[in-house]
Amino acid sequence: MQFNSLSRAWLGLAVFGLWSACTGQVPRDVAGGPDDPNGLGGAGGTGAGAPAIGGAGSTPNACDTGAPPPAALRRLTPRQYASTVKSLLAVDVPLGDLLPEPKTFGFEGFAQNQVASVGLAEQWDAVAETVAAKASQDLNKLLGCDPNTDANCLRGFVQTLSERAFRRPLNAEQLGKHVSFVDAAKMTAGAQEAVRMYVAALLQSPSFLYQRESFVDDGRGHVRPDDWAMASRLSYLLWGDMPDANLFAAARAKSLGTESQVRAQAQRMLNDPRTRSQAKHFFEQWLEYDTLPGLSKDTATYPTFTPKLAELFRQQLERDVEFAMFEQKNTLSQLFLSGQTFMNAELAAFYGANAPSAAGFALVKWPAGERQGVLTSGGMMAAHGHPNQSSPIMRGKFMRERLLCQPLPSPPNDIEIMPPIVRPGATTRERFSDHKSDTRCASCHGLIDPVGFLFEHYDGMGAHRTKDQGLDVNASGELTSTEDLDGTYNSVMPLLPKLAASREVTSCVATQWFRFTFGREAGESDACAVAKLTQSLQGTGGDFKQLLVELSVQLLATKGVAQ
Amino acid sequence: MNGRAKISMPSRRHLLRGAAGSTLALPFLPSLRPAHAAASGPRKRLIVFYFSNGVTQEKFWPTASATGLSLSPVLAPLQTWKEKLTAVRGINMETARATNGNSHNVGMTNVLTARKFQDVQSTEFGAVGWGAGISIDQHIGNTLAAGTPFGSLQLGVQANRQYKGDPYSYLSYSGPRAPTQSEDDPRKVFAKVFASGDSDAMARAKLLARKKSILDLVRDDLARVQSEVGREDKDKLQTHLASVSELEKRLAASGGALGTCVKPAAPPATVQLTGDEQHPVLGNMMSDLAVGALSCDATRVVTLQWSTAQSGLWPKFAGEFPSWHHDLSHRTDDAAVGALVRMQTWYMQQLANLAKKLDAVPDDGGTLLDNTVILTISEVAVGNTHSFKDLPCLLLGGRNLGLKGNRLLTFSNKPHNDLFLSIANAMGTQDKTFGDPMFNTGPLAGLFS
Repeated sequence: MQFNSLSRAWLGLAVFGLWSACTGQVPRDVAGGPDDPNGLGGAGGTGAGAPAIGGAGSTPNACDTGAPPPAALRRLTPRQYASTVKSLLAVDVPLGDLLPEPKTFGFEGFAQNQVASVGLAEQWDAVAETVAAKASQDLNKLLGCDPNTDANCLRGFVQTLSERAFRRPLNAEQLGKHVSFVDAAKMTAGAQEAVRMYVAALLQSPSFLYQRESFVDDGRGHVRPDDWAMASRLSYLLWGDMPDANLFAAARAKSLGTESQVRAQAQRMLNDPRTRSQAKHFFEQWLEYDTLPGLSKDTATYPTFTPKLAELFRQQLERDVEFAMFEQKNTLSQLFLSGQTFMNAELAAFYGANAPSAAGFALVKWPAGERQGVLTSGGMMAAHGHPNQSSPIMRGKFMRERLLCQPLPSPPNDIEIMPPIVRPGATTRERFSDHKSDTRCASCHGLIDPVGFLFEHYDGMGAHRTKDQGLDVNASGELTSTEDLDGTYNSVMPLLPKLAASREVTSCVATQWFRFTFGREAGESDACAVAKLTQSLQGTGGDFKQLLVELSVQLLATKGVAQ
Repeated sequence: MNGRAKISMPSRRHLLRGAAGSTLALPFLPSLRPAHAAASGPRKRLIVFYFSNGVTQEKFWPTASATGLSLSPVLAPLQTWKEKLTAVRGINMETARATNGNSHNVGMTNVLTARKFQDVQSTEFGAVGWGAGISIDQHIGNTLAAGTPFGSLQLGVQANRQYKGDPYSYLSYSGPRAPTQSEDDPRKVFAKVFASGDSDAMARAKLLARKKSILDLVRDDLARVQSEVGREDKDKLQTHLASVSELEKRLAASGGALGTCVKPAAPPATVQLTGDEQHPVLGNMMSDLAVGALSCDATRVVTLQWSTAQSGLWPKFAGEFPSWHHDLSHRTDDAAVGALVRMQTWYMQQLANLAKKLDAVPDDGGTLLDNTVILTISEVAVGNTHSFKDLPCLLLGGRNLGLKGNRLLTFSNKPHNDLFLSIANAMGTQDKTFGDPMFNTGPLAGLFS
C-alpha cells in the first residue's frame, strides 16, 4: 500500500485552503479559548474572537457565542449500525459487509458526508433481509408470545420493536399502519414471514437509519432535544450504540432534560464496557492508527514487517489508550508520557524491551531513552510512515493537525507529491532539503518538516534507529507558530512533557472530541462549548472520562429560538 | 475460460406472460425487453475498461498507414484484434484541465462523470472532492431501459485495495456525490447476477409483491421524517427516496430467469481477494463474469475497474518491477520506464483476453464482441505529468454498432464529453450532451458509421 495516509486526506479544511496561509499566522480550526490573547480564532475567517468564560465564581453562562446551528440529520455510521442491530435483535453484522463512510477531520459520522446512494439502498435492503431471516428463525424467542393463539401478541411485538428500533414511540397513526402491515403479511404468508418482513422493513426505514430528533421548549426561550433524542444522543456518544432499557425508561419519564439528570446518566453509562470500545474508536480516529489493519510495507526495505506485527501494534495502542483513560486520571499526560506500555513477548522482542513474565500482554517498561507514551510507539510511527521510508511530512502534519488543530493548506497543484527516492549516503533530512530551497514549498514545509524530523529515530515500520542509510540520525527539530510550544528540540522526547502541559494541545483535544461527538466542525457559535471542554480538561488534569460527562451535558445544547 | 456451462432457460418474457395469467397480480411489471433481434438489431453492449496511472504516450499510440494500424509496443498484445481496434487520439479531459486539485482525484472523479468535482476539501496531497453527477456507464444503462436485471454493473479488480471509502476508489456514480463501489469479490458478483435466476414466475411475482410492501412501509416513514426536517435534510432524504425507487426498479428487473447464455463457472469459495499476486487471477474471474453478464443479458453495460486511482499495485506477476505502479509512473530512469511499459502492456494483454472471451460467444449478427464496444480509459493521460491531454482511449469490438476497426482517428483537443456522447448515441440514447454541458462541443464526426 502506498500513501497509507490518504484516507487522512480529509483532515484539511477548505476555508483555510490558501497557500499563503503558511506565510503568516497559522490559523486555528476553531475560535480560540479564553486565554487566547491574540484572538487567533479570528484568523482564517471563522473566529468570533476569544470567547470569555468566567473563572472561578462566575456563572457558566457568562460565555455566549450564540446558538449552535440547527442539528443536521445524522445517519448511523457503519459501526453504529452494526452495534444497533446487535443490541436490537442479537444478530451480528460483519463490518466488512457495510460500505465505509467518508471521513472529515479523520472522523466518521459527519452528516455532510452521508449521501444515500443507490449502492447504500441496495446494501440496507440486502443486510436487512439477511438480519431479518436470522432474527425470525426462533419466533417464540423473539416475540415472547404465540402469535397464533395470542391475539395481542403481534401488536405488542410491533409496538415494542418499533419503539426500540426508532428510538422513540410511534404515534397512534403510525402504529396502526405498522400493525396493519404485519396483520396483512400474516394473512398471506403466516406469522413467521410477517415478522421477517416487518424486521426487514424497520431496518431500512429512515427512522432507524437516521437520528431522527424532536425538540421541545426548554422553558428559557430556546428549544432543546426532547428526552427521546437525548437518550439516543447519550447512548451514541458514550456507547456508539442504541439506548438501553434504563435510558428508554428515563426518556419515557421525561427525565433527561436537565443538566444534573444528564450528568447522572453519563456517570452511570461510563461504567459500561461499551464506553471503553467507543473511546477506543475515538482514539484510533483521532490518532490515525485506524490504518494499521491491512497496513503493508515494502518487503524489500522492511522484511520483518508483517500483518501480524501491525495487528500487535494496534492491540498495544488499544490497551495503552484504554489504560490511560480508564485506569488513570490524567489521561493526557499518561498518553504522552507514560514510561510503561502493554506488550507481549513478540512485541518486546521487536522493541528490545524486557518481555512480560506472563503469557499475553502485560504492562512493561518502554526501553529507556528510546520511547515514551503512545506517540512514539511502533504503531503510530508505522501508520505515519511510508512503505519504504519514514515520513517527516506525515508526522509533522499529524502533529499540526491532530494535536494542535492547525489545518495545513494543500500544496500547489503543479507540484508532484512523491516522497524523494531513498538513496544510499543521504539521510531523510537531506533528501527533503528541496522543501527548503523551493520557495513554493518552503512556507508550509517550514512548519511541517522541522516537526516531523523530531521522529527521525523511528523508521517507516516503526523500529528505533540510530543510523539512516549508514549515517547518524539527527532528530533535532523546531516548533514555530504555536501558542506555547515554540522552541528547538533534540528529538521528540523532550517535547513530550510540553505537549502534555500545553494549553493549545488541550484545546485541540477538546476540539477533536467535539467533532467526534457532534459530527461537524466546531464553528463560531461553538467557541464557548470548546472553551468549556478545554477548561474541564485543564481543571481535571486531562481526565477524558470527565470530559465525556461535559460533552454529555453539551448534548443538551439548545437549538435556535423557540417558535 | 474454465468450466463454462452452457445453460438454456425459458426467456423471462415467457415467464412473465405466465405470471400475468395467474391469479396473482404483478405489483410492478418490469418493462418488457424489446424484441431486439427482429426490430431494432442486435442488443448493444458497452464495457468500460479502466486502468490507473495513465500511459507512456510515446510507447502507447499506434501509427496508421493506408494498410491500417501499426501497433506500438504497449498495444502489441492486441495484434490479433487489430481489425476491431479503433484508437482515438486528441481526446482531453477538459473538465479536469479546468479543475485545481490533486490530479489523480480530479481525474478519477471527472473521468466517467465528465464534470468537475464537488465537495472539495483541502489536503496535503492537493484539493480532493467527489464526483458531481451520474457517470457515463450508469447513464447509458439507465437510459437504455432495456429491461435487464441491472442497468449497469460495476466490477472491480482490487478496486478498493488502497483507499477504501475514499473518492480515489470510486469510478462510477449514480448521481452527484453518490459513488457506486465496484464489487471486488467475484463470489458476490456471481451470487448477485447468476445465482438468483431460477425462480418460477409465481414465486417471482410473490417475491416482488413482498418487496413492494416492505418498501412501501419504508417510503411511508421516509415521507414522515421528511416532513419534520429542514430544507437541506429534505434534499438529503429526497436523494434517499430516489435511491429506494431505483433499488425497487432493479429488484423488479432482477431475479428473473436468464435467457439462453454462457454462464461462467462459480468462483471458488476460497478465492483470495488480497495480495498483488492475485490481481491476474481476480481479473480473469471478473472478465468471465463481465462476459457472462452480457451474454445472459443481465445487463448491457459493465464497468471493469482495474485497481484504483493512483494505483499502488506492485505487479511482480508481470515481470521485473523495481517499485509500485504509481511510483514508477513518476520515474524517468530506464528501469522504471521499462517496468511501467510492462505494466501497461500487461493491461493491454488483459484487454486482449477480454476481447477473446467476448468473441467466443455467438450473438445476434456475429459474436458478443461485435455487439460490444469496449472503451479503455484512465484517470490521467500521462502518469508522470498528470496531463489530461490525449487520454488513452481505445475502442475495441462494436462492429455491429458501427465501429470500423483498424483505424487511428485523430481529433484536435476534443473534450471527452464528446466521446462519451458519441458512444451514448451509438448505444441508442437520444442525448444531446453528456456531463457538464459547458464542456460539450458535439458528437465526434466519423467515429461510428
